[in-house]
Amino acid sequence: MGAGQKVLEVRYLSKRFPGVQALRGVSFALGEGEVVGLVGENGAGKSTLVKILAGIYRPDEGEILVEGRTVSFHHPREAARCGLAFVHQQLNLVPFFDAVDNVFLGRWVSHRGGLLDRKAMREVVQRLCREFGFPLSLTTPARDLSVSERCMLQIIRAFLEKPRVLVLDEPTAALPEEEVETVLRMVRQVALQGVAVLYVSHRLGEIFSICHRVVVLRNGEKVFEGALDSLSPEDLIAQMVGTKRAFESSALLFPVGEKILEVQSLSDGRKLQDVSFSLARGEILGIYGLQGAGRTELLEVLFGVRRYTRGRVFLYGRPFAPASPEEAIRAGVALVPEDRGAKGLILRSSLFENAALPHLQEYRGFMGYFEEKRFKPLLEKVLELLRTRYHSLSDPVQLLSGGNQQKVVLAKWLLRDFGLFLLDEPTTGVDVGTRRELYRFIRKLAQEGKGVIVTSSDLEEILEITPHRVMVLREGRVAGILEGVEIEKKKILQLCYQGG
Amino acid sequence: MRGILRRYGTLLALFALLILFSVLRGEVFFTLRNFINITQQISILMMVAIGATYILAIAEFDLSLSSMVSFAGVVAAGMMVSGSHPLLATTVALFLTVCFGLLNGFLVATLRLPSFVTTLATGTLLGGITFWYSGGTIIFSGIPRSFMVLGQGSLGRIPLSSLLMFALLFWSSYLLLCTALGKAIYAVGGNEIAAWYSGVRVSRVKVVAFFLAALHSGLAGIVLASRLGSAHPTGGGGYLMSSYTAAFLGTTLFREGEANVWGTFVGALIMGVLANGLTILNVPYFLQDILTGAILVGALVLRTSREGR
Repeated sequence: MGAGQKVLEVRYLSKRFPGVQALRGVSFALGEGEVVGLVGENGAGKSTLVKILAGIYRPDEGEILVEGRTVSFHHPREAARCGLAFVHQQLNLVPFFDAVDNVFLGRWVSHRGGLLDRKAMREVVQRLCREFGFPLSLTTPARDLSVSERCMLQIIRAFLEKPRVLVLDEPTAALPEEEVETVLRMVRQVALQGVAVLYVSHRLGEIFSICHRVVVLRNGEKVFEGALDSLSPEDLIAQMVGTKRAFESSALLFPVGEKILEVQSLSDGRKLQDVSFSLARGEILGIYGLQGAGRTELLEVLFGVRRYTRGRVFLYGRPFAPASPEEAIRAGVALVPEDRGAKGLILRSSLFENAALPHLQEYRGFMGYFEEKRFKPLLEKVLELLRTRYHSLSDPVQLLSGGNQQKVVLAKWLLRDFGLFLLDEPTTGVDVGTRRELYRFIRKLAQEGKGVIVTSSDLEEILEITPHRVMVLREGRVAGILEGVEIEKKKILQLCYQGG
Repeated sequence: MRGILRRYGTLLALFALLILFSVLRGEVFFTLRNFINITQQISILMMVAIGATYILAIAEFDLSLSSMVSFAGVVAAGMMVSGSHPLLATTVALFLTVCFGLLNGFLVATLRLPSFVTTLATGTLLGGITFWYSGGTIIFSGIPRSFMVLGQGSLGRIPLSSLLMFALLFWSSYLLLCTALGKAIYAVGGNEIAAWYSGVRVSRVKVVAFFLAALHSGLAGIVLASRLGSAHPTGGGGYLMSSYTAAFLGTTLFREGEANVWGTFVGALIMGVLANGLTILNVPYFLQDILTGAILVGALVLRTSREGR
């Protein structure tokens, strides 16, 4: 694993955002042909670092050196010109273009008359495919390629400009298991060409499989850097989590009641496999898992957005298979979806109109008249209970802050007696103060005897909500369920990265 | 000032036209009788435009509106010529038209076909059926006088077609603004997915909107045949573009960016006042189209500049 000469070096990089020190004096270097893993929990500063390298953010302090020369980027194009190439999670491809057109997207080579020189372009792509040993069909439109093939396409696109450094940001997050190996093989081949690779991933297995060294970030600081041969996965997790801040157990004091939800070996034929758990009245169940672990899918099955193909679900002891959100709502199930703007709110409609939607039938009077006078006082009361700040009920919700928007989404479900609350990442885009309020409110819901399932990709958040139990999902399966004193950070992460 | 212009620009355009024509030929233009005339002149357009408003409110398109206008008129006229009672003929024509609207709704909402192309296709199909039924010619002889009351008669000084238009306007306004259905319609138009996640029966709401659009187009077709005392297989052709123009003019007013019947009414009034005033002034007809188009572009530019802030 000879790390040749330093290709990329970062020195004392710092970046501050309002309220957060995202990076604090981070330094490390990549050698020629070296693959370095960059790991850390959500919010540790990985993506800030990648964005600085890509020229999307500018660092407050520190410098970046490519092959010994100091460079500074003001724009992503400049990073590319300095020899840095990126493969991002989102694959930016035109679905009906073939490989050649996608690789040369926006950089088409043409004859003098303006006619595209497809032959020249095709030869370049063929040469790159040969060099890397990528078995890629050049005539297949991108939409018919597998995810790993699309990833190859992106790498080839990145290599048009002969980069010295390749940064892969969670390239396998959206990948099915069987295609991961293909991508790893690609990365190894790229490194063999003498390119330095920075590999950002949540999947520790991959880190151990292809990286020579690893850099661990925690709360914006580099806490570890070193070779992987002498490290065990447990050590690495301990580095990521930090040993000082082991969390005290966080079991709730009030007891739970009888079971309201029972899920038995549920599968949806796509993501979820053999998921079983139950929920009692007054209980908070936290669901933790990485991106793509199936958190949202599970909640959406319970809310009738998607159907389950196998297994059984009982709500209040009766079989429950909602075919639409409407049916779930009638059964007393409420969902606060993850994507507030797309699924939770009609942004240009008013607070009032948004909150009224699940209750249109309840407040229907003579000739279909919607009984505003009966509805509004109740809504005002609930909004006040949540301490929502707004000017008028008829203002469009898009004028509210993220936190207040989320409160409107929540308020929507508090106007009637729902028994089961499904909260999918309820604090996305919500400021810290409001988060605390929401946590308190979640606890209050449970105290009132509701069943609450709350998901989060933020481990600290899961712990702060103080759920009775935490279920860890991993690639669509239950990796484990922790209860009471077992709920601690390290155990959760172990389940999450290594399985049960 | 700019805010007012942005918010009420379309309404100001209407007042500007009223003042302009009053100054130029006030003795003919600014009379109660002429205003009543205008309401009658826009009544058919307005009925189709109310239909278009429902469709725009759910953020879809219905390009078969004009085909339904022609179809309803031809079916009613054809049946009367064959000896049916006007009431029966009207009922059957309306019934068939709303069935067609339900078909549109089914294709778009249940089968999830894109509405623009789908209604282009169904509109073409219905146009063909209308031609076939009418034999490709205008139907005029044999239509009873009693049928023409609706389009030509009046109650006191107010034409019946104007009264019908106002009734439909108030009814639609109530339905869209005050009822649960109206809230569901705007929710579907605003964000279909969020509406579905909130328990709104999205498909049903869409089908209802297509049904209502067909109902209003059908009524417009009946009134048109009744006013002319005849029915032509492409008689409704002109109402497609003009109804959407009125409805889009309306989206710049009141519920900003969303179709609403009062905005549509202002839009139809602008078009009606222009046509009426320019005729009085003896100005060539094409100037009406030029001005209507310019007002619509102006209103859209003003609205967009506001959103950009």
